[in-house]
Amino acid sequence: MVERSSKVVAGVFEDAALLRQCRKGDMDAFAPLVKKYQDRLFNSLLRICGNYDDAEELCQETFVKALEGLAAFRSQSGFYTWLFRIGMNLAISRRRRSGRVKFHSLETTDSDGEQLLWSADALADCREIDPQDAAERTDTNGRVMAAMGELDEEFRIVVVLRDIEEMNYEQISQVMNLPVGTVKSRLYRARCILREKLTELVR
Amino acid sequence: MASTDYTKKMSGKEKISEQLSAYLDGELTEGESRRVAEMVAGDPALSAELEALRSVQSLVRNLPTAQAPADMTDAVLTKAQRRGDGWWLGYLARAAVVLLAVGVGITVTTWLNRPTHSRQTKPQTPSVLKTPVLAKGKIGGLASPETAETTNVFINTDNLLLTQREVEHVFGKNSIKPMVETESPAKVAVRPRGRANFYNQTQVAPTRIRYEVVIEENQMRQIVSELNEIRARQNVSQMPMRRIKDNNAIALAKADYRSESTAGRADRDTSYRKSMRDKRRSGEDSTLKHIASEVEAVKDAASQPAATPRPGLLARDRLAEPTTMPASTFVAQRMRQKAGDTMDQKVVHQQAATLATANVRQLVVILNGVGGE
Repeated sequence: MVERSSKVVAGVFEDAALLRQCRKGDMDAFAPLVKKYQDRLFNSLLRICGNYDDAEELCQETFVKALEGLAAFRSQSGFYTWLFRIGMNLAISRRRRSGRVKFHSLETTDSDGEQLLWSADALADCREIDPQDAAERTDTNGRVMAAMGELDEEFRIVVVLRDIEEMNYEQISQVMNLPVGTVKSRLYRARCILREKLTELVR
Repeated sequence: MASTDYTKKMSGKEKISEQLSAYLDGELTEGESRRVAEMVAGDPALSAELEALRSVQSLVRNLPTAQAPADMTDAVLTKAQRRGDGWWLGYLARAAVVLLAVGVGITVTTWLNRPTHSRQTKPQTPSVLKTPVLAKGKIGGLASPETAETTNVFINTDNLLLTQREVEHVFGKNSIKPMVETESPAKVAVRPRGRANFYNQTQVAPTRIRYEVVIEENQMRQIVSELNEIRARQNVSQMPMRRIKDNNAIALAKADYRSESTAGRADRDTSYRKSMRDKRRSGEDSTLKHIASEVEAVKDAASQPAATPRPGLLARDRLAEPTTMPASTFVAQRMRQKAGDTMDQKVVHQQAATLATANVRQLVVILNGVGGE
């Protein structure tokens, strides 16, 4: 735990130094920041919007917005939470514009062949696993993703930030600009809904 | 939708379950965690619920982790660069729109403020600038006060024309041309109020004339003294008229009047008039006495040295405490108010700044009354 928190502190200092360089006009200093956070942000956005292309575009847009808004960024909250806040806001805005998200699960293979090919590969990561196990796992993951896709956005985001991104409640409250109590209750309710939807999988 | 079921208010059991969820995430305090652990240990249902929540958490956590496309960094920097190149175009466009709007605004303002009398070659000078005080440049160079004090003199009169002439004579004698505002008299229907005015009738509302001057402090004493003499000569009460606001008092007066018999009213009015007449004849009329004493007071005040506080009328009849504000503010305010659009705002500021450095006072004289000679 001590080791992890010292890593976090070091990371924060590292971010701050890079951000200072960026503010001075050194665009190249932003590249390490993108590299550092791109996977985490992309993964979260993918679980929130349920679509690879959208997640990629949102992820790029998030970084660009962050770069544009560096002058307004105050270091009270870390760059990491600020970045995620931008990302989540963009995801919410996009969803409001385009309607409900559609998650690609294995149960809907008929309509989206190409997309689901990626989904199956990504979800199963089946290169080193027995094909049968891989199929089962893919099926399970597909169901979980489908269940998450049916959650309201406000619930889905807290689940993703907590259980996938492993943020603590305080960080989630900063990203979502919500009181910690609200985060707590949303997370509980989201889990209850998922439990109902995944009755067969829940032990 | 299933999720809406969960937006209802939480029951006590749900609160405990919510604690279970937070317990699972390690977000409870040490004491809370201990309590939840004890409850779970003693309640199989809670224990099962905790397991279910843990299972849900595990299912979500086991979702495979996706990686961002390899070219994400390049894509981001390219996008930012491209957008950055276009930023100045955006700013340029916005600046052009703003400039256009300002240009249109200036044109419209100029057009709206064009002189309405095109034949008039001389710009109309506001009356405040015509005052000899400013024209002679007496004010500049005197001690600089922080604030300018306003003195109000309120004169009620039953011979407005005569009083007006007298007041203007005082100003003229001191080479001062005041700004004048007159509120025109209006015929107003007066509702019955009290016993003296039961029948609806039309009365002429008093005319109100307001003189306003900015003068030097040493002129003030002389002028106010002369104004007070005029004021003391008026054969009406010098207290400002007050409207009756107490509706209960009015209602009671009306009720009294109605309950009184016509004969009784006539007797009472007659006896009142008779008593007043007798008093006047015998020289006991308190109003006359009061005016005589006020005249004496004013004479005393004029003869006393300046340092002593002024007794009598002025102190008593000030409408309010002297208004204090930065001299430049009120002068500029008044000048703008009077000059309107015809005056160059630069000139206003210059004049105001000049006045602000002077030891000036503002004098407001209000005549309130009816009648002519």
